[in-house]
Amino acid sequence: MVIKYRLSVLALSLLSSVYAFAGKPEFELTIRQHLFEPSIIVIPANTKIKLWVHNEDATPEEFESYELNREKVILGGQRSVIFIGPLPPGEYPFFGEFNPKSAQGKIIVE
Amino acid sequence: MQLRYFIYATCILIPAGITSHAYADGLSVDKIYDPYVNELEKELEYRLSKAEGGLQAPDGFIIHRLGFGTALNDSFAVEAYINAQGTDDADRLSAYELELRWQLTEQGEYDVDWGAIFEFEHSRDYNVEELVAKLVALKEWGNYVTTANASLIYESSEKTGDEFETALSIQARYRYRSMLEPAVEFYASEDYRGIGPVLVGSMRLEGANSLRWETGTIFGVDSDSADYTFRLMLEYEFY
Repeated sequence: MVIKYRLSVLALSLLSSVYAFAGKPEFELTIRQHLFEPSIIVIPANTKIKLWVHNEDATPEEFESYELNREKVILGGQRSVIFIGPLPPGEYPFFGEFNPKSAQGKIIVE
Repeated sequence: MQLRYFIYATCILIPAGITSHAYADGLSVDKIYDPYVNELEKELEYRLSKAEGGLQAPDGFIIHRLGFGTALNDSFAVEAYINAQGTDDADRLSAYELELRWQLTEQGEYDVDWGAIFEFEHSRDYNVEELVAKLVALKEWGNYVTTANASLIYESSEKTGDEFETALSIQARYRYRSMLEPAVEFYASEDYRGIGPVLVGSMRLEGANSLRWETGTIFGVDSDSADYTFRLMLEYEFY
């Protein structure tokens, strides 16, 4: 009985994890030569997404956006996740705080 | 998952006992913390609280705090402060504080962002030592942000003995633009209830540095509470 209960709990946990995973679309962003690639990312409206940011440069970079209300340092050679949204349709610029002239991009929500 | 249940339970239980006690040797009105730690970031911080009236400041009370902090990684940050406090003026060092901030959840990962803060304060003037555990919760509603700090305080004093106290502070802020974010703050602690307007802002400086400021006046809502408490914070963030 106890084993059955534990298996049920485990199954429910796994299902909820799968649901949570499936519920958040994932996007990739790379920092290379102090540039964001791609510089434009289109995401669905009113949906929370996971943005994986991979910094391929040797130096750290900070993903920053007042419009998205996000600020996150990604160390050189590291990968980090930023949760964004749910957002209404619109354009949300972001930039790299350590290289603001070159590292620029925007998220388009539609 | 168990951590989340613990946090939810603590968040409910601590405010439930809020109205009984709080900072007996200082002012309740102070900075309201957000739960975030930004890796590599360092900060130099100045805070001022000045109160008049009520049980806390019948002859006036002023506290200056000067702090330096640094992130240890993307979850933990430490900060140390030296304080000067007094009635009319505060021209000598009277206390020091040590603070550990812990970001518990990734920003935006859950409906509410969570953090925890642990503080130790030694007051030389009043021979008081204080340990504080603070739970920090932040909820975004589009451009509106609500932040709550619920504190459990252990105070050891030669004058009043040992006691536990609690406090709650809440800020509701509108993200109008980075230079200017209007907010309303509410504070509840021992013999104090206050509410008032606050302005928050930040500006980017050269080399990824920034200056953040907060200022406002909190008005006591009953005869025990200080008539007003002015607060100011200037924070220089750099890498």
